[in-house]
Amino acid sequence: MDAHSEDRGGLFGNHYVRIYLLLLALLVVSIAGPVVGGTIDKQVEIFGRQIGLGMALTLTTAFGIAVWKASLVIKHFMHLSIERPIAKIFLGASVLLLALFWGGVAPDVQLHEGRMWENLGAKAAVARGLAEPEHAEPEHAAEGEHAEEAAHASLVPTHKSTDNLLPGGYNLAHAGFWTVLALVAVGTNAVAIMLSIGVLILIFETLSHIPLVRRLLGPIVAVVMKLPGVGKLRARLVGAGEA
Amino acid sequence: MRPIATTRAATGIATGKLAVWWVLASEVVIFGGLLASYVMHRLGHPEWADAAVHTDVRIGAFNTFVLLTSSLTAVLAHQAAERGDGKKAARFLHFTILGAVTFLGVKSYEWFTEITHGYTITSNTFWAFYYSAAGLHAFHVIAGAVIMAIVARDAAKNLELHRVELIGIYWHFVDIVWIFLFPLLYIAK
Repeated sequence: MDAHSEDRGGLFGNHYVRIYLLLLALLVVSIAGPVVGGTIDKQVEIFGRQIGLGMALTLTTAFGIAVWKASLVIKHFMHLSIERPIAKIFLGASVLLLALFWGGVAPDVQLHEGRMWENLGAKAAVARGLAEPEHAEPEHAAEGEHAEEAAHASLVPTHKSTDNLLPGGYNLAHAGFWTVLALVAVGTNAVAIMLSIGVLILIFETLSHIPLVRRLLGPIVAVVMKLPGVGKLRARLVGAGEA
Repeated sequence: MRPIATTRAATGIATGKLAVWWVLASEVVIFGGLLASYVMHRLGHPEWADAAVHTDVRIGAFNTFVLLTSSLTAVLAHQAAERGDGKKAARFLHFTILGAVTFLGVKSYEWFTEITHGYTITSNTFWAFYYSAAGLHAFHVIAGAVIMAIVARDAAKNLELHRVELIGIYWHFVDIVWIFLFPLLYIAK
């Protein structure tokens, strides 16, 4: 924090205030980008694919800037860049686990067909939703000006028609529910594993303050530390100054 | 005897801070799983745009401004604590709590408006995700504000100043989650 905590005089001389102002400027861009993007109809060809310029601008300004803002907060407010390597390893492992879950689940959820399968129910839901956007409205929002459309919608079984959106009789809400549940279940396991390791570290840490334990474990730790590569690994995790 | 949270762990990080990083590593999976589920479904269901269009970008933007500002006051509290000025750190933490209360007040107004218009958690899957993600985040905001009030009480007496940094790290994470929720739920419609 030392490098960042120097004030150069006045409110705007403070490093954190300058980062904050940059974050606010990025917030403005992230809102303005999609507004401008919505007015652009032009298509561009990137790697052989036609992509809407407006959509590209919207996604870049919305999510690109979100990543930029998050990285500024992580680096300058959380000081992760000057934290010990092990903190980065914890967080990096979490992000890696998340990427694995995402990569494993995405093909089944995000896509509605593959080489050997086709999710007719989900495709039908998309087609129905796009054809009759009032389906996305809540039930009593259909009162008043939408009453006529709602009456028409009631002729086709809108709610019941979601019963067989997916093979096996699952509807869309079930699919969403089970996807979240699966991710949370696997995520919870990952959390449990990580917290168990954390608790173990804290237990060893606490025990190491007891003189008797230090005397008993000291020789064992000394032997382990002499094993090839162990000292080097510890130096990498803890930092050269602490090893 | 020094509190265990301030003693340097075998990892080279003070034990309290190590615990906060552990918590955040688990939060990455929890929030990440939820947001990943939303993104996957949103990409597969363009018809959700009809529901997403009803979220108010002005309210989302204002709450982003509030949380970014509260992150600034949290890090200024940390800066004051580093200099041993507990009273100043407590004052900045109180500003951060004010930011949390403002955020929750605006969120309450937003939810009240949406629910009275008929957009509830059972309306469709988009709204289910919307209320789940924003609700889980709001729960973290409440928890952070309560812990911050406890830390500020001690900091005002120049006690346990190391905790100011710990709650600050947690608070910045809450801010980062919102930084991603904002474009997902309010902008990319």
